[in-house]
Amino acid sequence: MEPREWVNKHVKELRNKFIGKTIIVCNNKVIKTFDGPVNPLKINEVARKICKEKWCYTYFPESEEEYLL
Amino acid sequence: MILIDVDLWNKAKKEFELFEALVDTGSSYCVIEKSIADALGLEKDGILHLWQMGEPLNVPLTKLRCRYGEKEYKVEWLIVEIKNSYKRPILPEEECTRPESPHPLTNRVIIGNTFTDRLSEEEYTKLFER
Repeated sequence: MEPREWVNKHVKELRNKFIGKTIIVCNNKVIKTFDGPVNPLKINEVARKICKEKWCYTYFPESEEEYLL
Repeated sequence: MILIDVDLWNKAKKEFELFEALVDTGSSYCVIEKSIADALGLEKDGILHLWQMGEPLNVPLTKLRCRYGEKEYKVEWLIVEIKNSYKRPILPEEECTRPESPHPLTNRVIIGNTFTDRLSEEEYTKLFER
């Protein structure tokens, strides 16, 4: 399964578990977490070192709808 | 909320970087935060003149190579500067009226119509299939 597809499928559980964190997902699992939002270039730097397969990242803020609506 | 992965060209490092992107069908342009645009080595390629909240708003434009799926596109992006204090969660003792969470452009880009208009009908439809 593509990493983004896996995140979308498990988004509710992931959000509950990793609220306020940025996660890197590879091979259908969370392989790295950071506190808070992280610059995507920094995430790329770390992910290139630890992921052999395709990966993705996402951040779970407490709430973000205020910005989006 | 639709989140996808796009690769953006890092002109400074000569390689693509993966970004989480928020698809915003209400946005005419794609948007990237200024410090990230600077780190990617993007150059200003014009100004977009807008009229917002009764005042003129001039926003820098850039052209950026981006990859989505197997295809590569070169589209126009707006560069928006976000105050550093908006890039982190609000602190417990902080008195302010902004939203509590960091600004979404801190760690994402926004995909607007300059990008989605370039997609084939099939790719466009697939974006909204969940």
